[in-house]
Amino acid sequence: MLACAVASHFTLAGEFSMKSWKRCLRYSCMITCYFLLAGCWSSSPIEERNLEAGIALDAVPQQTETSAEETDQQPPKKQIRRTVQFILPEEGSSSGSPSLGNKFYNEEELGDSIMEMTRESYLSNQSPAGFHLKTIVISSELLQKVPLQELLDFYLADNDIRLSILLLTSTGTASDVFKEMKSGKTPAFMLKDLFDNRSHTNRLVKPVTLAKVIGPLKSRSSFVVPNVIRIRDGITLSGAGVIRGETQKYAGYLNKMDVEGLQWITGDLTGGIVKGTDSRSQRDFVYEIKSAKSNIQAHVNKNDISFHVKISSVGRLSESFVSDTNKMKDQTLREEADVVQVKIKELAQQTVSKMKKMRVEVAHMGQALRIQHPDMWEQVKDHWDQVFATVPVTFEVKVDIEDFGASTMTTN
Amino acid sequence: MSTGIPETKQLTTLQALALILCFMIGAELFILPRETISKVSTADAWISVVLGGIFSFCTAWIIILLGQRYPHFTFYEYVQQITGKLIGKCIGLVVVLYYIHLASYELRSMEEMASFFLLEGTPGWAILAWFVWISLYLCMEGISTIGRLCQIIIPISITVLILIYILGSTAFDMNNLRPLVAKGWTPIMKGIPSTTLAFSGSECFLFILSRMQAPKKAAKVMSWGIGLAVIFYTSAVIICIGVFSLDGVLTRTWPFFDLARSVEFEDLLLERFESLLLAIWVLQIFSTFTIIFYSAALGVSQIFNLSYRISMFLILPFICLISQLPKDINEVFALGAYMGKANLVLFSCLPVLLLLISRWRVNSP
Repeated sequence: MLACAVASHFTLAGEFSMKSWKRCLRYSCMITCYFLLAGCWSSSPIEERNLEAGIALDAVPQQTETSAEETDQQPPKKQIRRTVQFILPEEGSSSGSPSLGNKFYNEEELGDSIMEMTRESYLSNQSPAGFHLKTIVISSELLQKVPLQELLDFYLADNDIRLSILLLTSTGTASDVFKEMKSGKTPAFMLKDLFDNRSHTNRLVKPVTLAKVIGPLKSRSSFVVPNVIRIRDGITLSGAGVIRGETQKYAGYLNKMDVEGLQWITGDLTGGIVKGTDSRSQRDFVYEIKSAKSNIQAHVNKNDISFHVKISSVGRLSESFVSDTNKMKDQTLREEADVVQVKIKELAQQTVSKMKKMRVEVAHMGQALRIQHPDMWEQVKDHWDQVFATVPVTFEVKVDIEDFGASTMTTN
Repeated sequence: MSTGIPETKQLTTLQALALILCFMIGAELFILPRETISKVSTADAWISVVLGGIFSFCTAWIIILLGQRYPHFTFYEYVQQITGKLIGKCIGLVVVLYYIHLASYELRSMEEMASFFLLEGTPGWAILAWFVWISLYLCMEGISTIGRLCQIIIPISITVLILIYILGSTAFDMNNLRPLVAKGWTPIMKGIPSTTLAFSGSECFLFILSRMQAPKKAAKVMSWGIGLAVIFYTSAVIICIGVFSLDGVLTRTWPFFDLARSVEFEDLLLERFESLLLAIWVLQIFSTFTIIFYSAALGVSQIFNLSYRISMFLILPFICLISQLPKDINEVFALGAYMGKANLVLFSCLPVLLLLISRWRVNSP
């Protein structure tokens, strides 16, 4: 319509009066604006961009003395190996059935500053973009040398990187996590989805996003980060890594059982199982957690701190090898529940002793003390991890088995 | 008065409410959690915000009382009646200077954040130019047009803000807010002054009261406006503490914006919700800036008896220049803190004084 108006002005207004000249100018201005406004100042087609999906940080084995002397100059202290997983958007969609391995590719870079390495990759890569980054995996070996704060500082300050990125540790080599898997999935994305399974297992700690590490890093308190390792054809989440608040370095590894105990103490459970052994028949049965709660009570008596943790859970008897038992009798369910109670108590106590041995506290007990006895917390908060090692912790566990599924029979 | 504003166009009550909300929720929303917590340093920072809101409610009440004594004049006109021409003009000029600085602060905050998060690669002048010219164009038509714009913007903003709050609450940890009032009320009191800039905007009754269709409803409009602003600011602080913990908020430059960046919802239409937040935030600053610009231009025109349009063109260069004066972002924040203090003096102490004088002058002869 606009073009018509312009054209009509050129044809009809033969004589160039001032008025029509002004109009003509106005229209051409408008048309120019349409073109300019529809454009983008800093556009960049998505097919040409390399989207980062995951980043793995590893330690570089120390170079031998001789090679350093050969160069005569002071060698740069390249201690971090950064592996970036890029996704290939166009190939994934263009080929009907994406064959193995062409959904992503990994690129490695050595250096000692994350920002430097990020910019280094511009030399070999068209336009790496970080705003779709989903996961960061850091090897425990690197975390023993470099504090977490230094490794994450760039990511916390960058404008493209979201704070919803998942953080994981790896007791193995972090870059191995991002290698091709038999299932053909992209590991960086799969890691994120794995956490949806928390409602089915109690061996998986809560996902830790960058947003959730900011606080502990600033207040220098210890915390856990889920741990991922490479298994033959894929990856598996196994246990958790502990970051020591004081040094912000790796404090140790909590295995699957420790993680179970930890989750019972914190009450962060949404599902999972407990395996028990029937006291009479010595046969196993499996208790499935429907819900779990915990209440950490901090007691302060003069200068002595102690904790009493009340754990309660409701669940189902899901699998039982105990023969000739009557699941429909209340007595039976009560007996099995008692076994589970003892088992949970053992798990929790084992985790507490492990934390004490490691000299860290990651079970939110410091938080309970902070809330319930703020004055006491002020005194101990600077060396809480040390103080905790001497603090007695007692447990009180209550388990109720509500039902046993669709079968009243047991294997016989 | 040769103000050149069509006097027939007036503000409806709803428009006045939208105007006040737009004025209040500006650049401060994104940094308020950090500013308050750094002063309070306990998790009770949100109580400071509530108290700050109550305080600004009181000052706004006084401003309305003052304004209702002169229902047909704006602040710049009646201040001359109260204190005499010369002093009145000086006070008016100080207020104009305050608004020029505040406009510069809003402009610069917008530029800093938009160029960092939204328009990386776009030069600063390009961001400013569009913003300023459109605002100028809008201001030309006077307060009722600005009011109508606010009426359009506010529902959009509120919807997006509420969505952010809901999304943020998924990463919320109640324990970060506990224990309540563990260190007594002194730190909470200390935090109140840091909220004054956030609640600046209630003073716009100084200028719009005479333009309202129903000036008697001003108190009602003010209560709703400040009440809603308190709710938005307080929940922003509460959710930021809940998500990042007390120590975490202190390390974020724009805590509220980071809130939107810390949650991810694949099921929702927009996985990266912060772009939407940034877009409405720019709108919000635009409306704040426009109202401030209007107030300043109105002042210049009424103090120097100039035409309103000419005074707009007169002060615009100053706003742009001052906005570029802070050398780095710390100076921008420092300017913000300074504006908060100036606001406390100008719009909390001054109206009380003016009200007392005007009463005394009425009674004395």
